[in-house]
Amino acid sequence: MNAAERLPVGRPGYEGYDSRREALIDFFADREPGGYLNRVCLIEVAAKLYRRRDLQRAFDLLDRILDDPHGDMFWMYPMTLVRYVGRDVLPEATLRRMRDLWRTYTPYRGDTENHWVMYYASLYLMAQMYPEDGPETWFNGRSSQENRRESEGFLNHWIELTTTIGQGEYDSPHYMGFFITPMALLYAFAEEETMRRKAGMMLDYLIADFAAENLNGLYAGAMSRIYPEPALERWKNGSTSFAWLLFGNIPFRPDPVNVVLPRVGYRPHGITLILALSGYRLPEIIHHIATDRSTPYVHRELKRTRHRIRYSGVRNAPVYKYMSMRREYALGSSQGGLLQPVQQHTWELLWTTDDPHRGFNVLFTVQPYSSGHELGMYFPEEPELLTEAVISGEKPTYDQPDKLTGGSPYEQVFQDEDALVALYHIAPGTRFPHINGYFSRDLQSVSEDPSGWIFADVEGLYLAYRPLAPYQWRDLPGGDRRLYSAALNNGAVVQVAPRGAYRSRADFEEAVRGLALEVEMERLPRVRYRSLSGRLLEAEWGREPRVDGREVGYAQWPLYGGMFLEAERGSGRLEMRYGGMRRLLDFRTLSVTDRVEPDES
Amino acid sequence: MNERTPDSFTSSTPSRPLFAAVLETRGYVVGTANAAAGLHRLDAAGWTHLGWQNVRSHGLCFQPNRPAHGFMAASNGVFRTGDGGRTWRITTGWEITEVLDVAIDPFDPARIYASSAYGVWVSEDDGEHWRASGTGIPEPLYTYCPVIEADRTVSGVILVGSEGGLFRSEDGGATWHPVGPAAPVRHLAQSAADAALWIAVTSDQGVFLSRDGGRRWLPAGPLGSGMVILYTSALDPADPDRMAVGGYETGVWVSDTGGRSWRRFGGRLPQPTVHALLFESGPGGRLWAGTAGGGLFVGDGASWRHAGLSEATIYDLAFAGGAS
Repeated sequence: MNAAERLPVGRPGYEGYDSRREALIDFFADREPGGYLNRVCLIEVAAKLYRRRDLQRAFDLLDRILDDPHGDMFWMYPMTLVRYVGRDVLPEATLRRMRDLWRTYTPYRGDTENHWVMYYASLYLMAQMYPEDGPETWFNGRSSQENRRESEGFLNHWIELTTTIGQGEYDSPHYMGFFITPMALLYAFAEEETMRRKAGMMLDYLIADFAAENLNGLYAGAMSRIYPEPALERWKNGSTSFAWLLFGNIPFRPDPVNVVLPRVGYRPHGITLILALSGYRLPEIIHHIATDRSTPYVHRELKRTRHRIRYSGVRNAPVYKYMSMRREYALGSSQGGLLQPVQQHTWELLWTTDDPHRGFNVLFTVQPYSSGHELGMYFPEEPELLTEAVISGEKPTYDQPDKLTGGSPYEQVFQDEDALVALYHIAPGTRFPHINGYFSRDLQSVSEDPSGWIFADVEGLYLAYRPLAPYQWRDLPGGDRRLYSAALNNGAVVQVAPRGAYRSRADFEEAVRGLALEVEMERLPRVRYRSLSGRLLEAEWGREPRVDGREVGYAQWPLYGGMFLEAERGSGRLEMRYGGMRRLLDFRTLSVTDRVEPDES
Repeated sequence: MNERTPDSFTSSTPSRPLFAAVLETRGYVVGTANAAAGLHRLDAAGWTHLGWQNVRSHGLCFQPNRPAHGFMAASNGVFRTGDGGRTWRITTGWEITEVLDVAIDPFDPARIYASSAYGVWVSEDDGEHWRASGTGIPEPLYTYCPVIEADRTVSGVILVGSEGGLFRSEDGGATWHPVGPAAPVRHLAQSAADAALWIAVTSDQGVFLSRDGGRRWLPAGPLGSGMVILYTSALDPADPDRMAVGGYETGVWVSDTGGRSWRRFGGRLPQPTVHALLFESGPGGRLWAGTAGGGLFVGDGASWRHAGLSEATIYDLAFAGGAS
């Protein structure tokens, strides 16, 4: 970070939003882009234009950035932002030059959900700005009217999918901003009231989703996409800055050296500016959902895989998410399997720390699956070529045996409150036939008990981890350790409890040792476990898990279910609840209803 | 847009202008300043990049009687050009994506077929409007369709290669029926020398041939021992017994015996993974090979010569006004 930069602070709490927003805009308006001058730096240009500050500098920067158009949809959205924010201030020659780039520069539409939403939101707004322009003025040979109609069609389709069967790129702390950003652009600049309203409702929807699964500003639980380093140092994801701006529950800290996508030069915290400029105001109820952890809660969500094009009888497989959230920690999971290529994060324990920027406050296991078969499910190129394409791009760890992100067809996970069972049934001959468990440097007093449990404590929790097969410790950088286990039938039982629930760690250990645990690993992995809550958990490979003899009910899994969010699958509706406050988003009627009921709590 | 690429001239020039559909170049990442992909043209003056800089291009076809009029199958949709690839219109909307191949109906040049990772699409007005093709290909299990071809001698006969095998239509794509091997088909082609002869290659069961217009398919002779993963094939336009195939780390195999026996063609390719093959017309015509990550090569049977587009992954090749 430039020493001259002053970090935006702003006031905390719901009332502090305006203060944080102003501080953020000032931060980027005063900031001088460093390093490689490319479309990423359009954020600083937009802030200067918005503030009418250092205008000549903004014009100069913009002219230089326009010399080298690249970035596909990552070029389209900041170009759209600058065009709209600068419409009354940019020189005519610059405006003409910008307009002509939409003819000569040919952006790729992309191959993921976030790419498409950015592409079409940007195209919608640019077509709106030049409504009568003919096909010869656009890169794709389609007129403004055609582009706007097509964009609207896709955006409506995406909203329908998301609010009925869930997002495909769900709960990604890196990519959530790339859904919020296009919605913020539409909310700020769409002239057609219906589109603007939908965008505003989608902002509520996406941010409420994040709110229920954040712990002190850090995105927690099962995720579709996360990069390896921010998996361990969660604050490095762009979601952190959205938490700061919207919830005020974590300090702002821009990341000047990009750790996530160094080749792109992308800085994950910059796009927060676009939401700040949009005029969007967070409903108070979402702020409460995001920040009140006084009562533990269980939260369920239904998501989906992205579109499967091969090797699957279903286009979008369901993803069943489960979260146990407490003040001290969040234990969250999905059911495992191949739910998202390359970057899946199937389950984790994330705990509260005094300094959220310290990182390494997580625990999870991974089966390091690597296969063109997985990639071929989702990408159209030849499966045999895809692994090389992935690792030569921005995901070099995909084909490494010690990797800490990714899904596996040999993984099946099940959770009930603060207990979790992860089973692995690894096919012989698979590329990396073992599992990796990430054990943080911050775990205290790790002890391998004669009972077979590994006990540890950290911050406000006690942890018990029961490996289901022989294992070894392998060192990781910084004092972390990797639990390596090569048994093909494998797994772990994880039991967590808040420190305050026991008089001492010895009491916790004694309680766990006394729990009934039956493990069968001979043919197919199977576990029967009586958790600290007293419930009987039964997990068997290939079968729906049971709690107290009853299946968990995947067929009835709600789109959202829990203390704060309720939505039936297929409904197109989401109800937020906090105390007596209610907010209903109804995408069928495009209505938002706020009401207050007697608070029964 | 009309730019000379730095990797331009080669002494290996084709007898007719040659188009290469470049999917990507090494280290491709969405959102970065990638080297030019899309359509490249090779003629006596060397290489020219045409049109879009950054498009994931899977397939090409041009109208025989209007050589400047053609289509490109791309991830963004079906592209159409009327000026030999210099400018393009995306003819499809958001509903059609990951288009892998495109074909023009020989009996009705306004009738266009596109196969994609999501199935088959048909246009009856030169690409202006598209509709999903009819029934018969199980969705989504087999709707990954990397190749589509229209029979040039029997109106309405279309063949598509899918993840679940070959499907044949006799009504212009309204209905489809499985034919031939139930294996992932990666490429198929109809012979210019014998219209009844078709070739199909698979990713796990080798080469198949049909000698009755694509109704009945039989396995060709084996390519060495063990399984080979094939991506592409070519039939010599002058000799129905001469054919070539290539795939994942296979180099190029050629048969002079109508597929009964195969031999390696031209020694070892520097980049052995081959995704596009094209015979030049004329007896003993040269063979062009587009590779995955190594660019284009041309072989005369004795050796290979690099013909440009270094580090490019070439998904398809077509002569101007001719077949791909």
